[in-house]
This record gives sequence, structure tokens and C-alpha cells, in this order.
Amino acid sequence: MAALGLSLLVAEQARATDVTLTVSTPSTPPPTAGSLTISVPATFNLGTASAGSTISVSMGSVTVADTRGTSAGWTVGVIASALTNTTVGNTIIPTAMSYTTGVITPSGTVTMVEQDQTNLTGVVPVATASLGSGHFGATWAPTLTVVIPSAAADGLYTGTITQSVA
Amino acid sequence: MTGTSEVGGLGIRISQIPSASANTPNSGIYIVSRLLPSTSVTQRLAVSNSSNIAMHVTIYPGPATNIDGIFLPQAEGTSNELTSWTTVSPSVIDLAPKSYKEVTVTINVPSVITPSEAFGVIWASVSAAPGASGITSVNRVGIRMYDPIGNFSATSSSTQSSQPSWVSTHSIEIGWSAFFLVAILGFGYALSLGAKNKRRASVAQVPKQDKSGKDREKS
Repeated sequence: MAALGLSLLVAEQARATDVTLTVSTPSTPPPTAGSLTISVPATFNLGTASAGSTISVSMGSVTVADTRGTSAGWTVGVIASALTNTTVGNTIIPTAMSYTTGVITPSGTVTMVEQDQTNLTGVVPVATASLGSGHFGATWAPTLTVVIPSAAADGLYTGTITQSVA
Repeated sequence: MTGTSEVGGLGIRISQIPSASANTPNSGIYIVSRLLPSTSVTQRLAVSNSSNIAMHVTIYPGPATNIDGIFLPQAEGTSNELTSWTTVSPSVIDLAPKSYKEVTVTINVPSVITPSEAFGVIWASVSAAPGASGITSVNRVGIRMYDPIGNFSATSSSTQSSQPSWVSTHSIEIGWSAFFLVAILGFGYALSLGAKNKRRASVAQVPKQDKSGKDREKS
């Protein structure tokens, strides 16, 4: 009888504290669903220029898409390495480089702020999205400008320009 | 270009949230785990290629600063405390067009820590072929890391909680934990009630015996 009473009490407790358990298998999302995305970088050339001159080239189109469905926003930063002469090894340092976004075309509901930069030594912000809602993004075609020192040696220069969004 | 959904590129997102941080604001878009000494936190991210060309992608942690609410990544090749604890596996992936792969981020926290808040980014990076002038163009997309270390009480810069519907949140773990907790409490409560009833029963029987005894004496 005591055992029966205990069983009933346990059963009553179980009913009084029902736990709802929901197990769901995540559906397979398409490649970009819920993602922050940046377009594939374009190959671009600085061309040929004389020492002491300034060159400006388009880096090609950049598009950032935000399908995370939040208003968290994002910031695009840019950094450049020194451009190194592959023959004699002297460099053109990033303080001589500028990044200009040009016209930023937003998509969706978003407020964009552009910040052109004249020194690409560190990661510097060039575009910030805020107050976005839903799926939104922006596209622009930045221009890279390099002031070539008058003492720059002739030759091919190599380096890296990195655009980051987070 | 209008409409962002058609844009092809390199994407990254949270694909699994550690159960301990499931209710932390912005856990659906950032890595926000509290890092306790001698623990290890793992989390999966999905790196996607929505373009029509194959991608060779490198994934790695990078440091960041967050001064006056301005989150700013630092240069590649630099590190901070958080990124020195963080690894990504695999760190290099090849993505076919219109595909994605998952990578695992692991943060191994040492035994000795200083409470603070650490900032970083898990980057997915893709390079274009160098141009004729030797310039290599690199684009990166990242998941921010806002991780309180130890018992640091963060003044959250989060804006809102956000969690895509397809993200697994390990609710099953929480559900089972809650179930077992309730079951144990219920069982304990039942035992205490059972013991109480038993005491009542035994106490109730004594007066009856006494009463019957007195009755017997009266008779």
C-alpha cells in the first residue's frame, strides 16, 4: 500500500511538472542563408607609372550582402602591404596609398557611411552599415591611389590589398 | 546592382551555438561564449560559396579591438590572447560553386586567466589571382568574437538577440537536463511526502492504541 501511494505521488509530480521538449532537425540552408557575404575579389592592375607620379586605378566592384536578418550591421576595413620591387627590393609603403569608395549603392533598408582613407598601413574602416533591416547590402567600386616616390626604382612591384567585412 | 540575394561571393555564418551561450544576445551572429579557465569551447561555422567559380578559402582567427563601441579588426599576422587560444579546423577548404562546408572553431582556455573581454574575428579569406602589376587582391568575411574571459561582467555592446530559424541550439540538451532535474526533485519530494505520511500514519495509530487502551481501562 505504501508502495502504491509512492507510485501515485510520483505520477502526480510528473504530471505537475511536464516538460515540453522540442527536437528539430536543422533544414539544409542554401549557401548564403543567414550569412554575411563579400564578393570574390577582382584582379586589377596598377599599370605602368613613372617615379614621382600618382596613379589611380579601379579595384573593381565590391558587394557585401547581409542575409543574417538582424540590424547588427557591419564594417568594411582595408589594409595594404608595402609594394615591394621584385628586383631590387625597395618598397612603396602603405602610407602612400589611398582608398576611395566612390558612390556606395545600398540595397534593402540600410544606412551606409563611407570613410575614404589616405593611409592603408593598418586595417582602416572604409564603409559601415548601420540601421539595416531584413536582407540588405551595398555595392561600390573603390579606387586605389598610389603616390610613387620620386626615388622609386624601376621594376615590378608586388603587394597585397585586403578588404574585410565583419 | 540591386538585390543582395543574387550576389555571389564568400559567406560565413554561425551554424551551431554552444548551449551555454544559446540565450546570450547576438549568439546567432557572433561568437560570444564566456571563457572559463581550463575549459574548451567549440562551435561550428558554415563557410559558403554562392558564386559560380570554385574557391580556395583560408579560415583563421584574427585579433580585433573594440574601443568606444567601434569594433576594428587588426592586421593579418597579428594576434592577441583570444586568438592565441583559438584554432579553426579545417583551416583551408576548397568550395565548389554554390556549396558550403562547416568548420569547427575551438577555444582552449588556459588555467590562469585575467578577467577581461576579448575581441577577435574568425576570417574566411579568398584571393584573386595577382594582376599583371603584381598586386594581389584579397577579400575576407568574418564572424566577430565578443568573449568575456572568466567572471568578467561585460557591458554588452550587443544590439539584439538574433537567431536564424535553422540554427540548432542544442535545446535537446537543455530539455533533458531540465527533465532530469524535475524528475529528481519530484522523486525527492515524493519520498519526503511518503515519509511524512508514514510518520502521520504511525502517529495516528498511537492515539488509537492509547484511546483503545484507555477505553479498555474504562471498560
